[in-house]
Amino acid sequence: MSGPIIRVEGLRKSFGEREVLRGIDLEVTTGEVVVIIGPSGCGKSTLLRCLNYLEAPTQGRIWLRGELLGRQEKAGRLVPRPEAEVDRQRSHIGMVFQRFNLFPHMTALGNVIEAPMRVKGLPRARAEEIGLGLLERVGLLDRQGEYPARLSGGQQQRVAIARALAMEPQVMLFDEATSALDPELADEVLQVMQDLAREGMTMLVVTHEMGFAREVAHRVVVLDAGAVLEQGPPSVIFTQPSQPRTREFLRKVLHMRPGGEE
Amino acid sequence: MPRRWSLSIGCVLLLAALLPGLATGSEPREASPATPPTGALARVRASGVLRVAIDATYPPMEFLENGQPVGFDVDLARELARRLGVRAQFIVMDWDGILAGLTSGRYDIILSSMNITPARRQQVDFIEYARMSQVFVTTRGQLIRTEQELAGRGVAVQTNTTSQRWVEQLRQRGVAVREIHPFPGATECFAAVKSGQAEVVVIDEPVGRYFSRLDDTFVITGQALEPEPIGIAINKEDKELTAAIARAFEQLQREGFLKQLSERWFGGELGQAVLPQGFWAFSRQVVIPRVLQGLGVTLQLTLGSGGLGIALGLLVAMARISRRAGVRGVARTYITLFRGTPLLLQLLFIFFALPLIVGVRLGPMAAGLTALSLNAAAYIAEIFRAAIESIDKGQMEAARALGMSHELAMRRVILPQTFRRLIPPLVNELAALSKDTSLVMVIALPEMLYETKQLAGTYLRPEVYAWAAVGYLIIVVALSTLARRLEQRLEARGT
Ligand SMILES: Nc1ncnc2c1ncn2[C@@H]1O[C@H](COP(=O)(O)OP(=O)(O)OP(=O)(O)O)[C@@H](O)[C@H]1O
Ligand SMILES: [Mg+2]
Repeated sequence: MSGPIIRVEGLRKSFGEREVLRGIDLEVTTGEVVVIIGPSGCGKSTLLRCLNYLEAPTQGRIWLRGELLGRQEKAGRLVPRPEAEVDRQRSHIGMVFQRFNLFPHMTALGNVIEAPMRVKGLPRARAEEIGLGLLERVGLLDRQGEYPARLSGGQQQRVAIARALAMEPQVMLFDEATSALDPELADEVLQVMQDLAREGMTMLVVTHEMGFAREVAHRVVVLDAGAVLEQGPPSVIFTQPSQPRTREFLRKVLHMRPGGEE
Repeated sequence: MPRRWSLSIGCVLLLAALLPGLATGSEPREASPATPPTGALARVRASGVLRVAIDATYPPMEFLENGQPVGFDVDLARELARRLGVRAQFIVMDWDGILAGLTSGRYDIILSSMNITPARRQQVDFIEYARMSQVFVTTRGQLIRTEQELAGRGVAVQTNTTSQRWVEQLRQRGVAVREIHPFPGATECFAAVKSGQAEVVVIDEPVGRYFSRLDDTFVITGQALEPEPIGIAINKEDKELTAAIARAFEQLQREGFLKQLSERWFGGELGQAVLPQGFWAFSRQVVIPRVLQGLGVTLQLTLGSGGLGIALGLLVAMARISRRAGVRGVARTYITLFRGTPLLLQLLFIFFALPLIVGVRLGPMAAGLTALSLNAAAYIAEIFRAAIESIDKGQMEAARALGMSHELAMRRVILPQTFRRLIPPLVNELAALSKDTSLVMVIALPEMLYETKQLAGTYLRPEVYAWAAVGYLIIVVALSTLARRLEQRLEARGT
């Protein structure tokens, strides 16, 4: 781990009157695996979506490798970046969704090679080479020609991970990647994520899988009501959290396993 | 003889008086003991010329065009001569002297729509080559099918013709023809009907056909008299020539040459000019060809405005969901405007008002296409918008998260997924559009309903609307069949 790859400073996000993120500061170093936990509606998804600018922050700044996301300095003032540049910045951040969001009209391989071809402009042969390598890595080489509808949930989520990896992102964001899956299927996805972590991928993971957090996370961030409640290594957070609200939350989720909450 | 019947009787009597051979009433067959053994056929062959007399005042049978004889009979004579191995030389005669010229040997034959009558048979031999009837020609919108329907009408006829005689007899038989207008020529007869002086022309079928083809305000609606034969007249002593021409004629008939010639000069075979009365025959010969023509225009309008409407509708839909409020506003206004006012109004506005307001003058087709496309685009835009909005938001997010631009994500991810759900509403819209095209009849664009309405009005046969119904059904059924196929294909693909 060396140097912050992501730096978040005073991040606030409101939807209308309602402030969902209330000033978040966060630093993630290269190769770090950060698990974000917190009660439903506390703003975990919103935080991830701000990190890749799917949602523009109301206030605060985010840097990726020292480059300000979504805005730029011009004559001493911060102005929005041109859309095409935000697209480019976003392409360096991979994201995996709870509901997979595979493109149903494309095969597994088609899903994986679409962005490398259309965004990066790779020739098809090269994109397929990369895509097949990634499908092999998530254990789905033999399903490359299938449409998503004919894949299991776990297989679909692994294709989605391969699809995100195909853009060679510097950071991967996982938003409850397993909570729509049955436990066995969740495990095959968690295995892929764990492998990815071991290979040194920088990851921000929103999850209710406390086992995964305990084993894989370098750091656990507890979010509550749009603010960081506390953070620290899993060994500390899970055994001796400093905040009573953290304790309360942990008791609830650990009690609810297996199946998790939707 | 179809024309100048009465007159030619006088002419024959006169000839009978003048020619001793005839005046004595000697048997025609034996009227040629003095004929030199060489005979007419040998003479024709030797000279290489068949001399044909015509009275070139009778379009389309024989008339002069730029001083040259043309017409059905002229073409027939040329071809007959060719079959004899010679060429035809035309001698233009006045009708009154035409028979005398033949018997006195000034030419070899008369091929000039001469009616075969008993009196003429006494003088010359005939080879029958056609039968002609009298037809009723009226303007569109009138219907005179039978002699009874001539009652109370003003009838134009050519002076001294079979037609005139026939109409006069009809009156004597008690049909209350209002007035008989005799004119010297066919042209005057038709002019009289066009100007309203008379309501119907009774005239030889070829002439009736010829004029109704020249000017489509005229239609042939009925037929009088049994068809009467017309023939090629040849001197009785020229038996070999008669036989040779009869052989050549039979050959032409077998080869279909006469049929072609009829087609060319009358637009069909003689004896079939009159509108068939039965529903099916009338449909087949009159209605379906016109409805098909209209169907072509309707299809053109449907597919043209459908295509343009889809393209424009997609643009409007994109504007409608644009992130820029101004653009959204323009799209919303457009949709409100075109869905909120009647298509008929839009059509009338574009056709009649645009030229005055902005000086843009569109023809009926262009105006029709414009109005239909603009209108369809408003509905289609909403179809597109609904389809796009029905796609899971996660699809756009996943695409954007990969670094795809909004436009690229729309094109590669969202729109392809809308195809299958677009098909049913788009087909509905196209089906509605195919029926809406009928509105363009108000700007006189001859689409299917317009054509049908014309027919129904012209021939007073409202039952022909059934064929327009069939036409629209065909379009709509074809569209939905196509849609079902397409949907199945997309389904197979798993989208
Ligand atoms: N686009 C939006 N417009 C308005 N409110 C929103 C929007 N997105 C999220 N919110 C609100 O912001 C709050 C935080 O939402 P978010 O999805 O970030 O929570 P979360 O921590 O991911 O919850 P969960 O565990 O249920 O996924 C919620 O109350 C939600 O209703
Ligand atoms: Mg969430």
